[in-house]
Amino acid sequence: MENRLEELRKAHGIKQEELAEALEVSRQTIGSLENGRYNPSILLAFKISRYFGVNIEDIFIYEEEEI
Amino acid sequence: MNKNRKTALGVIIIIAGLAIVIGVSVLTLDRPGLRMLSPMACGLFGGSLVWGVNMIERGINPKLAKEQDIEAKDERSIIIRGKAAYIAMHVMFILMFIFGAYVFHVLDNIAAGFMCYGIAFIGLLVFVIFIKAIGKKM
Repeated sequence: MENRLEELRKAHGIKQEELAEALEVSRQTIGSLENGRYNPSILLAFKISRYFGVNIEDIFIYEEEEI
Repeated sequence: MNKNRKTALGVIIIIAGLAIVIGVSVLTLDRPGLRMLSPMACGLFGGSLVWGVNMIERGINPKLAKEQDIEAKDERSIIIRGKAAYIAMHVMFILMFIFGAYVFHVLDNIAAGFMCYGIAFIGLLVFVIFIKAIGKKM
């Protein structure tokens, strides 16, 4: 699943550490999310969307995976 | 924790460890039963020491306490810890059956030995499939 987290974070002018602290996750988790190595839980996805004031679909782009 | 405090703490822990090893060796010379229990006592002491130091450090440094709390609750860390625990359990399971097979061979129970090898092999296959499945992400 792709996401626009890095783009949004940079647009808001905040560091990974600051975002991690606000969302109560580790900085490594933010890094993994931005690199697409980790897909967040629904709770974390909601926290992120509320933090940036946008819909989940505006941050996380779901694509059907090839089987 | 700054570098000097870390160094001092490391030195104290090493000295305490050496004192325990020497103390236990001297005090349990003619008490083999007590000596057998000493590794457990040392482990308990060491674990308590590390826990105590961490608790003190958390009290002194609220930032560290917050970082540790976040790390403990971080969902990705929880998943990683769970996977690590599963891997450790699985490796233990495989090693246990390989050791069982060896013991059965020593006892000349070849059939039971081969059964153990078979179970260990199936365990290894499951393990490889699991590792391949989880290795792509995180």
